[in-house]
Amino acid sequence: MRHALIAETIGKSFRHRNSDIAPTFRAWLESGLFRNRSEKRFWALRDVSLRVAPGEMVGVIGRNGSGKSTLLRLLGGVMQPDRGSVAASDPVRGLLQLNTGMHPDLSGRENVLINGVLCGLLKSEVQERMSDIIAFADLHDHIEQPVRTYSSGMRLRLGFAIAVHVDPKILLIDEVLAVGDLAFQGKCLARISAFKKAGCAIVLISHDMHQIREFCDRAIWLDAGHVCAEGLPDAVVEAYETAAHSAAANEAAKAEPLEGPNRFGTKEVVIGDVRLMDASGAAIGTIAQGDAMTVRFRLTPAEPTQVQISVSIADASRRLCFDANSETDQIEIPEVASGLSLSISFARLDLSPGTYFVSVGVWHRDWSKAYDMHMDAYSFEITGGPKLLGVLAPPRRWRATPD
Amino acid sequence: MRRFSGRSLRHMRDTISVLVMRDQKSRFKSTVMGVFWAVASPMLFLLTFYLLFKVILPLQIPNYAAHLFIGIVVWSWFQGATSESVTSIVANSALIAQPGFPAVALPLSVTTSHLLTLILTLPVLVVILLFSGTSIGLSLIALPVVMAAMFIFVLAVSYLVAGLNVSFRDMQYIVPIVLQLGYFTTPIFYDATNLPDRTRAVLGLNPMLHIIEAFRAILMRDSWPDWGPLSLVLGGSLCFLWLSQMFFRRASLRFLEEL
Repeated sequence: MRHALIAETIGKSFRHRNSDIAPTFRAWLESGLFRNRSEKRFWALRDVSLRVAPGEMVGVIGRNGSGKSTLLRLLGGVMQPDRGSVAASDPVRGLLQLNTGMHPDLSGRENVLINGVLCGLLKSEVQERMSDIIAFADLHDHIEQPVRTYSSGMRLRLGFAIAVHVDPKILLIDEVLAVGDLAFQGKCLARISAFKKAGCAIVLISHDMHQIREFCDRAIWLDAGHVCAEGLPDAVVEAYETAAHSAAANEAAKAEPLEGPNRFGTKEVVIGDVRLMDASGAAIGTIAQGDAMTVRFRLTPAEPTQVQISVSIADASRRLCFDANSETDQIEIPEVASGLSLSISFARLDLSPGTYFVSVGVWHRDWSKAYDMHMDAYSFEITGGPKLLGVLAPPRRWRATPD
Repeated sequence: MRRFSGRSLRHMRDTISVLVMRDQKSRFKSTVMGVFWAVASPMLFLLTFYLLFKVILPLQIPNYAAHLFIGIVVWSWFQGATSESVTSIVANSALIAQPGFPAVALPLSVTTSHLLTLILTLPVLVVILLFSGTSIGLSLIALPVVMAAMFIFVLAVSYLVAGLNVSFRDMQYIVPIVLQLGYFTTPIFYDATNLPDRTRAVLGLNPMLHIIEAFRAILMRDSWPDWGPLSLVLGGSLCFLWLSQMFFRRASLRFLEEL
């Protein structure tokens, strides 16, 4: 089969930047005068090959900084590989950043013309498609208003409408399918499927594994610039997710002190050293369905205090699965004088596979104020068993008895 | 490998046209006075210099208002285009990352847009010329040649500073300083023909001197420009443009890495 896009063992290396300072003459002079032979370079992408046939959609997954965007830039020809080569049978189009050339003071119609041309169309071609684009973006009479009066949703719709009217033969998509409301997203996905049917070769970067599984014919998992796995989307996504979970376990073991919007309270008593552990006391990020788990943490008060504590578990959509506290469970917490270690052990967690978040809180004894609350701050993964729609996955037995 | 000729030329033309349109329309839509500003700024400079060198420190230059105005608007083209080009790549990084976007269009559209601004001030120039009783005639046919030479020169400088600034951000500070010096070493408010030969020879190394003098010869005296230096400027600018666009094209392969 003739391929639309071929990348042959491409590699790209970047200079290590010592600081965020933009390059200056001084740096240039210094590097010229005292030529630094050991200039450090790192490979953002190494030895990656990719062939995309017309009508094929390839998904690229990987953590941030794994080289996905670099790969897309090389495929798009806006960056040159240091090794290997990229060949394309037709002009490559991108659905990368929307609204790049838009000017807020100009009307929607004027911006369609500008952005259409910047996306690769000729002016005459944009004019032909103008009414289709406006209809797709669902902007009607707003189209004559300056774009600055648009809501962010309207702007995105307009940007997307332009970008999907270029009728590409080769299309690169970077994470933009997550924009807009669901109905519009569906419209965009339908449009992209139509491109695919019409023989467009597509490379899609996404963090949405569901999209990768559903729309892609193949997937590539990049890690640190290398191809970690390649093949059918289901297999690659599974391998990627398993690895991501064990990485999360390593993160959990570090038990960094928490800061940010997930933490609130007066800090008269602080929670620290929160650990999720398995039965043996080892820090975990993943447990098998039905296994035991212990949440352990330390309280450190500013002065001796009587407290209440709470622990809860929520699922990925922040639906509360479990919530108990020292009052509901009638636990007498000794006065916290200098420090106090606390733990709650679950004999088994019969939850459906997925990501869960643990919240831990320490409160005034009459619940009038929070001393320290860590909201959905500690995540763990339940693995094994079938993916269920509900939260609970208790051990169960089915029986069919003929009458 | 990536050659899609004919169409890409037309796309280039359309890209420049929409970028210029965006630039011009946005400038005049977002302000209350709109197009007036294109004229107001050179008019204010005209008033200031006129007051300074006609009333306070009189210079003996005939038709001083016309002399000044030509100097100011022609220099504004050069100054506007180069000072905007220097940041044109850095400021448009998202466009640079767009597959199929021709980076060479950016300095070209900036240069064209500032030429349009110059053209907008032409009616005022005509009024000033009429009032000062200068003669316009046949030599006007040489004006496009002078403008073409200047376009080539401005574009060459634009490619150079735009390309350089991506790797060496110092350019965006150096260019305004050089332009400020240029304002005084170019005969904008004075007349270089009055200068001692030695000084004139040194200042004559600046192509803008010959370009501005050519504009004045045509518009104020209905005489042919001094073809000798002008053809040098034209030839030199062509070579310069060829080199600087080559430099720009080579640098453009690495733009995204430096942004």
